Amino acid sequence: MNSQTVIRLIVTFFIYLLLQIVVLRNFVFFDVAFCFVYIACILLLPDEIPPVWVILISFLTGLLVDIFYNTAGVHASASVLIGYLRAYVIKFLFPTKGVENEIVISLKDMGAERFIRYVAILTLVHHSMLFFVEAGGFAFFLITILKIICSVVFTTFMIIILQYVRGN
Amino acid sequence: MSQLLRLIFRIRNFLLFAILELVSFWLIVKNSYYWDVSFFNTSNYYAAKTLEASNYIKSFVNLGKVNDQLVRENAELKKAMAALSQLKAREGDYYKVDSAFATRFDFKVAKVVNSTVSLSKNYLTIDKGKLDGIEPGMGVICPQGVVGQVMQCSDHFSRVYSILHSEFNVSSEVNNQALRSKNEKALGIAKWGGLNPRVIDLTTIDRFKPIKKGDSVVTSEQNVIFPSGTMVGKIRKLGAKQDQAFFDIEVELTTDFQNISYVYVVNNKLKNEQEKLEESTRPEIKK
Repeated sequence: MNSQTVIRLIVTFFIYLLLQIVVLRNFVFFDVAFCFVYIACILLLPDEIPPVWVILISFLTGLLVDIFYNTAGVHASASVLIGYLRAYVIKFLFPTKGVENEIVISLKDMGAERFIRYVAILTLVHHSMLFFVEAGGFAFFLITILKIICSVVFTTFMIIILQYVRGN
Repeated sequence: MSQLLRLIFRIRNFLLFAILELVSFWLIVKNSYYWDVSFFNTSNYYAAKTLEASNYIKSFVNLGKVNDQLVRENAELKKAMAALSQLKAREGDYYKVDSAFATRFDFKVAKVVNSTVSLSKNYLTIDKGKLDGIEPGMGVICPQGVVGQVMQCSDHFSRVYSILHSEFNVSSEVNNQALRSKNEKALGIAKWGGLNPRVIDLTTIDRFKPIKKGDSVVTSEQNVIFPSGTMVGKIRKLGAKQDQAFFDIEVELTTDFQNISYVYVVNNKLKNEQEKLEESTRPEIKK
């Protein structure tokens, strides 16, 4: 990984974070569909970054978002979870990774179907953790489930759209 | 010992994960007890600055909603103001206004969806109709001044005569200091000349009344459809030929018909009663 890639990664990181904090924070549809597009920061990290770093970056991202949502720890815990599980999901979805060697995580290089599956799985994990932790348990089970489903659809959709925007 | 270290090294990801999760949950728990002492919230200066920018964007998103609220509030205020000004009799009069008369005006907000200004008979279409309680004959005003009168209603829309209509008259009066101090009235009829959508003619005003350029023209107290004192315009040109009894007055309209967006439909609750009385007593006058 050369320095150019690192700079590009950092810039992308801040763009997603700014987008989340400044714009998408205000978009909540019908009080159930939230958009947490910032997790793209974690999902789209190159595969060659060591897992330890992925987990640390996830924690940092979550914490930064927490500051703006006034929810110290909630986003951080969910983000750390997907940062940890990311490596296993990649291994599970792409068992041939070792053979084909490097795998680039982007819509263009993975193909739509595989990319959507990858994003949807991790988004689902993240949002489940997030909303259940935020609700403080299983007290509001049905409404939380509804929130999770709507938000997963919204966030996944948004991440894919942004992939197209970035591709052009 | 080396085996233990090797084990730790092998599960280092999991350990890091577990530790960070513990930190997160510690933050969550701590945060729910001492909400505002934590650094990780919006009381942080930089976070607050960024949120300011974010709210700026939010305010644009909500502009339409805020607009609706303001317009509705304005309608309420207008109603209260009309009631108040109607309740106050002129100085020196031994006349008491009763509250049914003072509160006879009711305002409903509507949005203009279509309008013309360049024809000789101009109309507006508004997005409220029969189902919203609009009826033909109600007056229509906007924050700047008089607009027109409802002509026809469908379920959801109404067609409104604009005062830029060659057959529409507004009973008006000139309002200035000189007239007020003499306790006089300068009543006239405002009617559109048919050319300039910014100018309306005011006729039948006695040429010996003390009026001058720049005086404001408002709807008169004899007006049935508009609350009295609703702005019509300001006198732009004033003249009288030697052999005429009346002024020729051009009034510049305060309503900007080209950019009109929200209007109030005025319902005079006592209008029917007044008209019925006048109608039923008319033949007796003839006798």
